[in-house]
Amino acid sequence: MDAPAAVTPLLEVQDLKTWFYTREGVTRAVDGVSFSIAPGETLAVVGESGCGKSVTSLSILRLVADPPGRIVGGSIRFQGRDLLALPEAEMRAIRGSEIAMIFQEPMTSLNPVRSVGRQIAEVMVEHEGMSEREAMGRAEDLLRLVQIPDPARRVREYPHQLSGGMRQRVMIAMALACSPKLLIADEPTTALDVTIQAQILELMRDLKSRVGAAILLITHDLGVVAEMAERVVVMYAGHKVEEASVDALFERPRHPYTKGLLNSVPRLGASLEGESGRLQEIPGLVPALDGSLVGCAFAPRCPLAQDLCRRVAPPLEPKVPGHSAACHFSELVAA
Amino acid sequence: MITFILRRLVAAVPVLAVVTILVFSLLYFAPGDPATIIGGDLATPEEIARIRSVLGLDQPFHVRLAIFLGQLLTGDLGTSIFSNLPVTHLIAQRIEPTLALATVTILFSIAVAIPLGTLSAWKAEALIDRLVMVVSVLGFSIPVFVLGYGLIWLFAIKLQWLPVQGYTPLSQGVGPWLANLVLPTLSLSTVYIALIARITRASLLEVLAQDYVRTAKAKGLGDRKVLGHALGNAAVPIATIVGIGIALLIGGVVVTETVFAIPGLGRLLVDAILRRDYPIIQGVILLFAAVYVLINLMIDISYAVFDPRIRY
Repeated sequence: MDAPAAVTPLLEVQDLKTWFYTREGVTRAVDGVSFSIAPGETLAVVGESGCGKSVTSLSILRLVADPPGRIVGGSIRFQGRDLLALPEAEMRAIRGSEIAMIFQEPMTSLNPVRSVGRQIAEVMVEHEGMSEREAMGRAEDLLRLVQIPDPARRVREYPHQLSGGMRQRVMIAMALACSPKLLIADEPTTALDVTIQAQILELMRDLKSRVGAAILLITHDLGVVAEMAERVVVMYAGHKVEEASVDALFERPRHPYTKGLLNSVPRLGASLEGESGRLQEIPGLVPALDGSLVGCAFAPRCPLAQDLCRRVAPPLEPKVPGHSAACHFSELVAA
Repeated sequence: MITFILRRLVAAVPVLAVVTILVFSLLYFAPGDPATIIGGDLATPEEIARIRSVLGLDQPFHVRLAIFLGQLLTGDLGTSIFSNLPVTHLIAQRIEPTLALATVTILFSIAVAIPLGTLSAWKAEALIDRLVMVVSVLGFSIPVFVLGYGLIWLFAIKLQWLPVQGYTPLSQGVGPWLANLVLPTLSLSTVYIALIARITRASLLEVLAQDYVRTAKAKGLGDRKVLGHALGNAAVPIATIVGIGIALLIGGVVVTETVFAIPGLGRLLVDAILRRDYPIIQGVILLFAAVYVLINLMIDISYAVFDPRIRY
């Protein structure tokens, strides 16, 4: 396996802990997650809703709402700088220029009362000191770049005049405006219908190769992972449970949760008739994240769980070079 | 847009017609008779009957209504029973102080309340937010006249900084004009500042939780620009409450003018009611109704200015 540690990572997240303090108690949404992204690489973070993947991405930009959320531990190094130690003003200079973000909901992520052109231009006025006028011209170019027809007209239009797919293109244009080194895409295609999804993914791949940005792709959709990413981090209940190259992960998952995720995706050509062809779901729900959990967080839902799993949390360790998993019985899973 | 405005103006005609007939009927059926007030305590029933027939008060309901409506269509609001002056003339005489008080009050309220509400929402749950909200509850709860007399006592009588009562027309200089308006404006605007600040805080809090505010932050915008994104979206509910405030102002103006002895429409109306001077009451209420309709229209137009999704 290629070892990403050989290159200096663009982003290095170490032992990140983002907890939420509510009246009901503390929720450990992200509890000790580490990963790194090399320049130009695409890393996917996958997991069910509530596994902490979105909170991880918001933590990188320090956009977790505080209160109730707080980053209580770990470090996030971007190009050698610890983002968690930066003063707010310097962090602002990074947001939108060096690290840009695409959000899940193109319907609600754009300001409904400002023209899309102004919303794109704003980033360049802020970070590149462009005049309003110059930036509006650039915004039009960017709309052309993301293949929105008739950009001269669209640049003046408001979000409600655009379709969902076009709005997501606008979000992408906005994210690319300052040629960021890292693009965080949080479920960029989830809210779109399938044909539009494919177009948006194609566009992102195309632009990535042009701009050379690294992408942190947050998704629950393994189909998207297979199409876009080079490496995958699987998260469960605020922890990283497996990390591998896309090929290795799809071919031989080493955590029962990953295996469950793969089995719950319908495969083309597979029969859905009869017992053997049944689409498998993972039974049960994500456990409470209040820190009361002993042993492996996945044990209550795991078909392979033994007494050991309920007593001792398995450490995340390399099972083969470039492929690590947090499971006592990963050999059984891989078999 | 133009057709919308025209349509709304045309629609205002039946509204005003209903208000007219309602006010007229109310006054017709209300007890009290200007003839007995004019005649005084010693008048004989014959004298009162004579005054009634001179004023046309002995005519049946439908005849009086028809006469009134006929006058209205020619732009004539009738003649005051007591002063014998045309009502339009009386209104023109008294409109400046009322307009000044209402305008200054609403502008002052907006200028204070929106920054206050914004600060409160931005620092939600912090000490400053709680302080603003406590003060705004107080502002709601103190009646205009209590605050008015309190301010007069402190600033006009004890400190002697400002005149006690009265009104100086704008034509006699901005300084004296403002000096007379400060205390009435302060006492009248308290309620509106409280109201508008609360609504600003509430709608801004809702907007600040929206995804596009997070997008604005993710773009690396500073607090001020992020707030700009938010305020643009909170503008519609704020405009609504400002409009309702202007409408409610009419009642407040009447009380404030009485407390501060300002010769405005409110005082004209109160005096007319006490003397059953029907034409003045009808005229002033009709004017208030027309202003109300106009302000509603202006608010609806402002929606389209603030929100591109709203088009008429």
